[in-house]
Amino acid sequence: MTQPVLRNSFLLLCVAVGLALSSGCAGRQSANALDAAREALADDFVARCAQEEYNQARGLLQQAEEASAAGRHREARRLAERARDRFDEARRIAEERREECEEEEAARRRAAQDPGSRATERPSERPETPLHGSQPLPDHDFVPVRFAFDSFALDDESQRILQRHAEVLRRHAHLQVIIEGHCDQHGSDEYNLALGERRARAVREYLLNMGIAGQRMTIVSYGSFMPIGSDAQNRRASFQVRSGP
Amino acid sequence: MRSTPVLQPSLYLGLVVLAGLSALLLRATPLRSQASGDAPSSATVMQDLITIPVSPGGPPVQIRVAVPDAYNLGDEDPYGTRDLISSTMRHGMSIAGYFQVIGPDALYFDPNQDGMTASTINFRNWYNVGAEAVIKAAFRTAANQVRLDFRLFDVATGQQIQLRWEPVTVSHDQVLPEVHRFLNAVMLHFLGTPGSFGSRIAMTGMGRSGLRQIFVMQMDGSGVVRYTDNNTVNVLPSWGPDGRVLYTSYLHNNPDLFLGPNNERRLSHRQGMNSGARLSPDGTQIALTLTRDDRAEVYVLDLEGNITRRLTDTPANDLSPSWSPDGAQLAFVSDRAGGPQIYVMNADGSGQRRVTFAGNYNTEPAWSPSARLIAFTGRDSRNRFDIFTVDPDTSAIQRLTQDSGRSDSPTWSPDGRFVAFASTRGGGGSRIWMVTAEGRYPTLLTREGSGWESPNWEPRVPRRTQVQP
Repeated sequence: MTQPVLRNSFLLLCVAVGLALSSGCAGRQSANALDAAREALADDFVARCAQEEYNQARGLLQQAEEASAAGRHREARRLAERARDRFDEARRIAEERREECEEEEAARRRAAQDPGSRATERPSERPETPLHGSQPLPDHDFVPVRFAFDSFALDDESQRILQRHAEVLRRHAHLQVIIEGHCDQHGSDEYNLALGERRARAVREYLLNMGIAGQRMTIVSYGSFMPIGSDAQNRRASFQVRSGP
Repeated sequence: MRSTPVLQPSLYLGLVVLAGLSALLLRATPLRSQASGDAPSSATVMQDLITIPVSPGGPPVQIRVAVPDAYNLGDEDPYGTRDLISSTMRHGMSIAGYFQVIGPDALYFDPNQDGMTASTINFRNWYNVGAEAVIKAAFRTAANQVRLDFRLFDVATGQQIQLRWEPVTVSHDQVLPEVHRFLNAVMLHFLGTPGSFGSRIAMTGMGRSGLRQIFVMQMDGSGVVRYTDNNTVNVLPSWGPDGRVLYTSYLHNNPDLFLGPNNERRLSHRQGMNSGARLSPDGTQIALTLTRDDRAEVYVLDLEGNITRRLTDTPANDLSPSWSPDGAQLAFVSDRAGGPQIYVMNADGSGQRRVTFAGNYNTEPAWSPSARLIAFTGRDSRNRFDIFTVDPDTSAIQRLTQDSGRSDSPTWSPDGRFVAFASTRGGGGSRIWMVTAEGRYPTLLTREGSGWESPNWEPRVPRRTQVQP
């Protein structure tokens, strides 16, 4: 051993820091970053007044949660930090237009009390009309499932919804379903068309795994061409159900 | 899962140190691990998001051209030819970017005292209103034929300028194309290459059904006609063979490729996407995106719709092809490195390489017909969509639009001088605008309404038909 001791210690320190980065510490740091992002995003005012930016932050946070759950801590922390950045931007925008936004909300509350204007109030809450076939359709709302920004991952809520749909489809073997993939209005039309198809395919795969026969399900992407409401509402897979074949 | 003693004493300190270190680490590695191998080393330290401003480079120079009303040399004007000529010329010169138009309202004298020849024009008057050039137009209508005589004069020298355009007699419905040809000859004289007047732009707009339909207009925004009129969604138009439009329509509940007005011919109806079709410059092949194998890939079809080649084969999305002017290469979008980026490849699919390294969402490439430049839509550091160009050899990026709402779907004029795009700039919803290839002279093209999206510019000016000298 003729190597200088100092150098060895330095190397050891480097290794130690490297290990910290890649393992335990990264996990804790990502958890902290996630907590911070979750806390920030609980701000309801920003959610209402800078919807677009807020939804982007939400999307990033969701990706961060997924990465964290999969043990990809470094990616999770980076995503959580980006969610925070995007949220800060959203808060800045929300503050800038606070007055305008509060007026809009007041107007909406007034409109909500006027029954004549209710039909246009929340278009997404209306279930999509099923196509009626020869046999009666079950009393079940095939509600759409939602997605995060630029993502086709099925979150817990989406999976719960799909489990209920699958249960109904299992009990009514005559039902055929068209799964439509949709996107929000941001970004390239053709890229969104591909994303919508990935969303529809993800839903189909999930239902296949739940035991629904492939020939009962077809998919079609409408990309960003059939918006129904806010960005979050537009990022969806919806269902056209009919008696078949 | 244990942290080292080095970092335990203060969680806060640890956070700060980690943030700094991780920032360095992240800078030095591509956005996602798949990106390795795609990016040249210079790109690995590039900025994460596009922050480039518009750089017009030098003050704009505009030529002042006077366009007085046309003379009617006959007795009657049954087709409104006088207004058609004068308004088309003034509007055309004004949107051409490089000109300032002096119309009749700016004159303190009666331009009708002038004749059509250099010796009968009072150039001092034109000089006094600041005109550098004067366009004189005369016509005479007989039966359904119209004799047209348009001339350009240089005010400083008092001389007529010789143009690549001769007086002609045409049927009354050919007056407009003839005015466009004359304007192209004027552009050729002043700018060195002919203009794009007379070419058309296909686009989508809201139909009566409330769903997107295909429309076609003249590039100057006149003559908007409906190309499809059905009860479904019609999108992503582009110019196909024989001056007809290719587009994707859900007429049969799948995004199929159609050619011609009113879903005349279904060219490709593979399961999934049949979209983003682009005719090759020699007019013999169509590049497009298909998802027949459960993922988006770029294919080439013959004009009958048969697949002749598959150009991409990755687990990622590869889509939105755009031919280089010589047909030897294509630009396209791929998210193989994470977010969507612009790539180029040879026409046989070989030599695929990434060309955009700034930003994390770059799509909709459009290869210039006259330069080594690819226009595209990029999302900048503030999450706004704007138009940029990239040099496919150097990856140098220029910004064409900024701070003006959302801008996307760039498409080049046939002469490569302008880029048209859909934009929410100026309020009033989404409309079709154009700027020069340097980002100058933003000009609104659509004249009425909004909801216009997805413009695609006809790649050449239609030829003259049935001309009598």
